[in-house]
Amino acid sequence: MRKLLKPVLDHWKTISLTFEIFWILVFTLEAAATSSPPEVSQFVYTYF
Amino acid sequence: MSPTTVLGSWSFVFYSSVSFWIALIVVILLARLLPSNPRARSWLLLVCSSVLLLAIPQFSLGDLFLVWGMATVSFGVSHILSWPKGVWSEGLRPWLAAFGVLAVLGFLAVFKYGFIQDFLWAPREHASSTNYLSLLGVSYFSFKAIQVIVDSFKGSVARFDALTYFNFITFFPAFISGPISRYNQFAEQLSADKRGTIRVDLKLGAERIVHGLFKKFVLVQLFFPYAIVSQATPLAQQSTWQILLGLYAYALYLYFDFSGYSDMAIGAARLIGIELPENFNWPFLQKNIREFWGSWHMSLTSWLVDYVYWPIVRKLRNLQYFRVRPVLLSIVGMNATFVAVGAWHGEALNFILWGVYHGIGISAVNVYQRQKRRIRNKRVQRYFASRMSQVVGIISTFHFFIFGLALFALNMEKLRILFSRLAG
Repeated sequence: MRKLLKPVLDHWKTISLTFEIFWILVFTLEAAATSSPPEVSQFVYTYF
Repeated sequence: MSPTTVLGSWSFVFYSSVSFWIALIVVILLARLLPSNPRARSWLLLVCSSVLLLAIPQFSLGDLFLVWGMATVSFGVSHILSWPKGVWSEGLRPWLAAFGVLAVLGFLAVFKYGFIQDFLWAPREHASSTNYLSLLGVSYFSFKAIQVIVDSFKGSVARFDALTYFNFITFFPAFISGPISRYNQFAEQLSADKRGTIRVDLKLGAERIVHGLFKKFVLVQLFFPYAIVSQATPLAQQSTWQILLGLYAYALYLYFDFSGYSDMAIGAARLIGIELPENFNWPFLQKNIREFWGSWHMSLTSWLVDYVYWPIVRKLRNLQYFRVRPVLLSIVGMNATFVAVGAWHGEALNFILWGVYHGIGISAVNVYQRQKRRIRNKRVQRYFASRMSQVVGIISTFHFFIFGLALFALNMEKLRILFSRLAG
């Protein structure tokens, strides 16, 4: 199992960043494509 | 004067608008390529911070003057306090420091609390949160100003100058909501030659920004619709499970939103060549509420420990009653600090209750940890050292925080409904 996971663990940073960038693009493109994009809420701590 | 008058129609929300990212790239290029001289870089950053703050729709030129005005007063006080001994009468120094801290606290209180605005000016008719004056980032730069005044009083501020101080107060990546940096570290980094660190700064800064964007634009979008604060169904009509799920979703939304913002602020600052302190360290994996607060909004927690908790404890330690009761002293200090945190979040009673709730929680953990060490039973000791005990600790801490969130997110009327729903 450890042997199987080794390549994933060795490239964990690249894999996680690719995963994150992929989903950022999906959500951004979806927001751009829909006529009423979901409103991005303001940062919670803005007015504290 | 509105920002649009100054900057045409150019305005944006930090970390959410494409134009902000374009502006950030320009600032990074200017900061990295143009001046190799730290002083020129400091001037450049001060000008860029001011211009970028004016681009925020809720921040006007008048607001910038207010920030500069407060910074001028606090700089003046800190500057006099940092003079060598003998120049300024030793007896007057504590009074000057107290004046500086109270002036900043007064400034903060005016912009934070509607009842103070009502007291100073005539109470507004149909007052609501939108009627009151507010100033973006007021808590964060006020905390920084207090920090410098207190540290100047203690004589622990190195390299104190106006350019660094104004940069420290108005540094745009951390202006809206922190992280709250420390003056000495900030000054050291601002004056350092950053030519040798470009590659690592760009790599680490960009990575942090991606993490932050993922949290804000993906995870927040997933959890926000289910959070207790954004559900259309009235609380009275929700089942206990729906309420509980709403609280879970709210906790995750809050975490991803704030830690996402912090990642982007830390990443943006790193791209410019400034390292900001961390704000989160896996808070939902902590084994007790004391550890939780050491890993949630860490820059504020450490500020509170240094500038609220320790001053209270040091003062009370002078009393014989507390000197012989160190546990009680720590409990009183902790509770007073958390009441202050609750009051900082807002003037409503639910925020104070939230502060008391966490103060009592941390005090209980302190007492429990002391009692735990006294238990001699080997079986119980084995359990304390086991993985099971850690898992139980993590789950209990998470749920303690979740129930506290109800106090944080709901007003007294909604809390009453919630407790009656949970009770029956």
